[in-house]
Amino acid sequence: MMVRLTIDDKQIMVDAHMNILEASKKLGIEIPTFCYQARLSELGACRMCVVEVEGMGKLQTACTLAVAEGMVVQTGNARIKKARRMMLEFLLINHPLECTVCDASGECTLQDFAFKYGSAETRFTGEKRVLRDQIISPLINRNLNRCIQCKRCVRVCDEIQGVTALGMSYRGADTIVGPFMDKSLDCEYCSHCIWSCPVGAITSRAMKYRARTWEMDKAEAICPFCSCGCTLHYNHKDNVVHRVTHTEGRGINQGSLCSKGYFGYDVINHPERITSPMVRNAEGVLRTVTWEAALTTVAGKMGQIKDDNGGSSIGGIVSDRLTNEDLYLFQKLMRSVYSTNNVDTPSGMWSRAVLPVLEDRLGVFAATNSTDELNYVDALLIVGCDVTVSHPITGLRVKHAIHRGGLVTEINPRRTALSRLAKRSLTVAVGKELALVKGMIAVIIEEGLYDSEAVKDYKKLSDLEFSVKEKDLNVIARNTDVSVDDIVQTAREFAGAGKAAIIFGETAALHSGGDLLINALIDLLMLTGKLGQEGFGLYPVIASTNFQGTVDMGIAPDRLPGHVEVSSATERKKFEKAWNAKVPKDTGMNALEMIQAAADGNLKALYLAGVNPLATFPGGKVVAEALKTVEFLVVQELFLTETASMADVVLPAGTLAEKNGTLTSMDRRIQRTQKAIDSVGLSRPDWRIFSDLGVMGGENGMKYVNAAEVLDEIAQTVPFYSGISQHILADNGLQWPFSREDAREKFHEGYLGTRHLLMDGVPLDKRIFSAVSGWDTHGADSQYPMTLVFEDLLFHSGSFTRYSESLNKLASEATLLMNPQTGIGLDVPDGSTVRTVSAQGEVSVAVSYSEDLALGVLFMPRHFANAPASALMVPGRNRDAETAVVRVKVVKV
Amino acid sequence: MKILTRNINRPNPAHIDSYLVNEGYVALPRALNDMTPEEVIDEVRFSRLRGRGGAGFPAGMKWDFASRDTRKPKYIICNADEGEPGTFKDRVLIEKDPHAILEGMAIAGYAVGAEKGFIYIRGEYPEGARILERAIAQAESRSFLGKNILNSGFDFSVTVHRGAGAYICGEETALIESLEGKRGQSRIRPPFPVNVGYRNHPTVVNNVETLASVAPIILRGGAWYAGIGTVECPGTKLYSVSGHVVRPGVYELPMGVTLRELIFEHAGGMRDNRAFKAAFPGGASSSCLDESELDVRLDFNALAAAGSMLGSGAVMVLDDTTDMVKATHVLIKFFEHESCGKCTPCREGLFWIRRILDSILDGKGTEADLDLLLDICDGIQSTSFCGLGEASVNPVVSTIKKFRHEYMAHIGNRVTRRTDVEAAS
Amino acid sequence: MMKSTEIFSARESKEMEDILSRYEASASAILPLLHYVQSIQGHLSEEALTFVAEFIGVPHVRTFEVATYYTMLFTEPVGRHLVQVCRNLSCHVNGAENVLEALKKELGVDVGKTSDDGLFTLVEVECIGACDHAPAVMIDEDLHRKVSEDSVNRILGSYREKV
Repeated sequence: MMVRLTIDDKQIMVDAHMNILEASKKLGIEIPTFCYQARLSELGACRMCVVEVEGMGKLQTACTLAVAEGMVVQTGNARIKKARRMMLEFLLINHPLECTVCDASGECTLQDFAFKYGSAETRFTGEKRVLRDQIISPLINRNLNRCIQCKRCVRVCDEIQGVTALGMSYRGADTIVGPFMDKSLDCEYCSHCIWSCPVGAITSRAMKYRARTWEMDKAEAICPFCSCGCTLHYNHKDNVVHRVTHTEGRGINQGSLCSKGYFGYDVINHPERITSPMVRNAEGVLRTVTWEAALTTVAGKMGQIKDDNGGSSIGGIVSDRLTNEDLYLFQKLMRSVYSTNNVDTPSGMWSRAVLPVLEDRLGVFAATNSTDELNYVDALLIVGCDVTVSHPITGLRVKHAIHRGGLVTEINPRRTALSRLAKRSLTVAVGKELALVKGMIAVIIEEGLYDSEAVKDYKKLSDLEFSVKEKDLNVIARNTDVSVDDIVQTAREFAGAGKAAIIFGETAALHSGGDLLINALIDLLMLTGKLGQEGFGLYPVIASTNFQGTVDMGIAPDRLPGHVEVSSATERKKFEKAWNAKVPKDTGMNALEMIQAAADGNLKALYLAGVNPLATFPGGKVVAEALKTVEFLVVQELFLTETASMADVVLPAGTLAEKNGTLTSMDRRIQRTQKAIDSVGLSRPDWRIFSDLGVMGGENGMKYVNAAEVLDEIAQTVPFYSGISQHILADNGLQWPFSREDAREKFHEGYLGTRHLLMDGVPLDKRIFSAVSGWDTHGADSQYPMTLVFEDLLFHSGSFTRYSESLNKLASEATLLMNPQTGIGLDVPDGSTVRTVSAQGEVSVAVSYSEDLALGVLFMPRHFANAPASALMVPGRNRDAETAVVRVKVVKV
Repeated sequence: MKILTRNINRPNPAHIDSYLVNEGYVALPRALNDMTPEEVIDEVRFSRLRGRGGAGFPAGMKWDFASRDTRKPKYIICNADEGEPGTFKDRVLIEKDPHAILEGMAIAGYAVGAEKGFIYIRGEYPEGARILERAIAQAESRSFLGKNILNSGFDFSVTVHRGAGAYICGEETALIESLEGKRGQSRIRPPFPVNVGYRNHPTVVNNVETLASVAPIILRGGAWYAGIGTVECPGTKLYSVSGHVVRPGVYELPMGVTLRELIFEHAGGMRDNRAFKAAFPGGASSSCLDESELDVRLDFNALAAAGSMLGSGAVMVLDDTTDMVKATHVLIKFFEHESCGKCTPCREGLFWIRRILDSILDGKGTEADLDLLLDICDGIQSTSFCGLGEASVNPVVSTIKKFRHEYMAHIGNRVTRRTDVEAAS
Repeated sequence: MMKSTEIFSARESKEMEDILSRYEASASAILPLLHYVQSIQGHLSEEALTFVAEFIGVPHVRTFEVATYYTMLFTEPVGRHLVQVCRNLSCHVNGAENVLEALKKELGVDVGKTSDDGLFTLVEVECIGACDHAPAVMIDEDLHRKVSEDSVNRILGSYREKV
């Protein structure tokens, strides 16, 4: 319903649910407020926004008063001005006037309002109240005396982040904001409290005394730490990034960030960055050289190996953190200059496990729906991942859905931050998820809860029915350690929900029978008709920042840019024409195969761009062997990692803060990221290095002036990126596939491209249930009876973040998590070191007991030096490799 | 006239048997058996009973609003968080006639369609809480509370909930927050508790004295009750009289008794025959009355007209030995201590006022401070979130107005602060 | 989570279950549970607040917020007996200040402090609804009416004898 009211003699029609503050904003009238934020529950505490309403004697707070038909409001008469002046005088009684050293100075609401609405003199002459304060965390500073009690931090922590680490304690003038017992902050370090603070009461310790707010310039970039694709602002001065700030209302995240995005920027100007190229000299020592010398060495050696042994003896593995432009040029360099399809990326393991299933069953190459649709799901299944950790901002969407009453069921081998909030958390050992999903399907068929309209032209419904009936629900319940009631309720909720979706992650997909599980999840979506609309769909999630970009840009031994197969002569011809160069026709080796081939002496040259296989690839020994054996090793890196220090040539590359380009989020949104600072030292953006090498390899088609030119070429060669440009991406980015015309004409009006795939439903030829057989996807191994799951940590993703001093303050060492019941036979006290042994190798690490884990399942972060995951991960071709889920045994030391 | 205090002088008055002697639990079966809920509400409306907690809102109207809301469950909350300084009348009812409260609650529950009641009693009344719990057990054993009360099909149970020391919880929305397990801080209104109360359900919050008035009204009729006291403010009122009087205590008198009558005819006059100087007729939150106002009638309307308020009827009487600035300082320290801290003006403003009063009592005040005090008071009064802040400045404003000379006696002739003078010299 | 049986006796655990069962909304049981735990342990320790939060299923900070809001709840240890002197107007004009001074002298402590023997903590409180018997002092749950400077000694003595 709309109502008409008058504010400061101007008439306006607005929605009846709106408050006076928002309605005034529509008229361009600013009403000052400290405590109000649209995203938070209403509080009405600061009293700064008082207005006068005809017929109401008392002044009213604009933030809590709903508009009404015929209301007449004054927002700036003498009475209101006096009240505002008084409010500021009240707040400034006890607020220390230390703006000279306050990090919020320059962007402090109190400062601004005092200037605009306050009085020049203060009538308070006594001593200010001084509250005892103490350090509450390594990264977040609290200054109680500056606090104006607006409770924004407390509300954002509770209502948005769902952590509730902060509260208001004590009473009256003694009220303080702080954690439990006013001791240390035990939280996700999401930074939302810092963001929400209108003064300098909660600030970043990492930023303290580094720069004044007004001295820094801001560049809008995409966060480098996961595939959520969040927009952030790098704040820089003198070519140093001093902080990250939130971009209110912009991007996928609408300003929200997580601990990595907010605090992890210190990798950019880290003192250990490699600042010049290096070449190993005759004595075997890496020596600083000019770019000219380094590139000549690489180009010459690559050319020679190609001539001597053929392109197939050259391989390249590129990081999934790089931009689309970087990735595109990398594979173009490998294919068109070095004549090899040996192109891969670390997340290729994931792609090969997941994408063929998605392509086969649904004809898609990505998550079907947009992450922000998760805000409004009525039911959600989360299988085999902790999305709040791997994708914190996507996790916020889930929390929002829960806040709205959405029924979220978690099926995971351990409880997560969501467990407390979710409708139910089913802690299930790896391999048992399939049985649960099939149990749900059985209930849905049995109770007739499926979408009969949707399934009527599906094939093999009876097969599906047969496949799930083989086992009784009671047996499933017993085997999975989940109650029958939970299975039934989850099934009913999912089938009955208006909007329902499924998220699954590495634990679900990257174990031996993961493909069966994905197929069963797709069957569940098909059966309940939860595909092809907003709020439906399937979300495969992996943290790798530009994982989708690697898929789209042809970073795969068997795929060219645009998901097309290398084996297709037509497609090859298309690229050969565009590139004016030959494209090798044979499928190349994937990353694990390249490592094996190098170790065997069959791969002569290996180009590693931003990857550190010694730390993150399975089979520590074979990787070390490969790097030692390979004739020519080029490592393009930010830091002299364990891998880089073995290289023949080290090429210094730049972070995302140092280049322009595009990235593609996990929900297909192609977004622009902008350069904040010039390249650190002599480092260069990755695309530029690839381009230079291409040109030196005699390929003039590899000459580009800037990243925009690369994007232009992508726009011409990748059909669903067709027509894209940095200009078009400036506002919101675009989700492929999109209409060229709409993109060109409506990008500034919020045109986003395709919000969800399968708009016309599942393709007709794919309307078939897979009806997978089997119940347990992760068979027992008597020699290695336990299952180790490598996890992402909230504060770290990949080995990259290990260089963040800030994030290392939050977590810097691995421990082995284990249910105390699992550990009974082991008989060691909490905290003692145990040997964890897999078929590949072993690590010694301290055990930490937690009842949050399923029996027989262990968890360990994958990227800390004290317990290198690579030592335990088992190499192999595709599915038989164990990278995310490894069978192990644990031995008392 | 003894209506509310009819039972307090019996032997063992809190026991159900004492209560039953004098028409106890007669109104409840009458309401349940002979009246519809609407008729019960009408009777209370006819009585024109006004809430005794301080605001004086018509009880029948409150019940009517709650009864019209169709959402279930609904709740009856007895506000026994008697915290206004100078008030102790509810304590007397709780300790001496708990069943009158319980009977009133059950009738209220029947009238609005609630099956659950809470008595939120201030933490400082542990004995009162025990007495109420015993009374509930007795009432349950005789089927005046619990399932299927007196075979009527009506269920109503009562839980005693102790506060823990927060004056603001006497404000109904703060009380509800506290009952929900939160910090007791006032909520934004509207919506009002009759629609969105405890657990966001329709909730009637009535004062102890209000609820204790219900059974007599049902028994004798609203018209009877309306005939007592004044037209605008019918019924009897419990006045808590304290301070410099000969017989401090609780007096039940028809509404509209004058201050003079209350002090000199009922409370035995001024102690030691000293002269009357001032009285706060409605506790710490009210504006003081001086000698010229001894004939003001102590009811909602007359006191409002006199620029003060009846509040809970806590009459604090002060004689001519009293330093009004010190008295004001005591009251402001109280409000500063009880300010919940939620809104800016109350939290910061009371802190500031107290500091200024400190300095005046310390001999460091100036006459300009009085204008500043009034300006701060205006700021607090016009912008505070809830009634606590709004009313907290009444003692300051009224004593400056009526006893300015006492402030000046502390201030002397100083126009600048002593500290400033010292700094200058 | 800590199990109630690890810190409380079986009877105490049962009592807490009973308290919780009185409320449809478990969060409503916070105050009664905090009252109860304080009555057993004297004050509300970090462990106690953690326990109550987990017992009713709310974030830890909630119990801390509540415990620090209400004046009758203590998050720091207090003496065996809590001596609460009303300082509001009716008691004030009837000599509460003198009573307080006498108590300070007798106990040898300032307001807010605990006597050396650990027996008494002296606090000032706002109106305790005993204005008809001003000045009033409440020791634990016992109300002492019309207290004078002279009766302070006798009153404290009766508590000392209990030890």
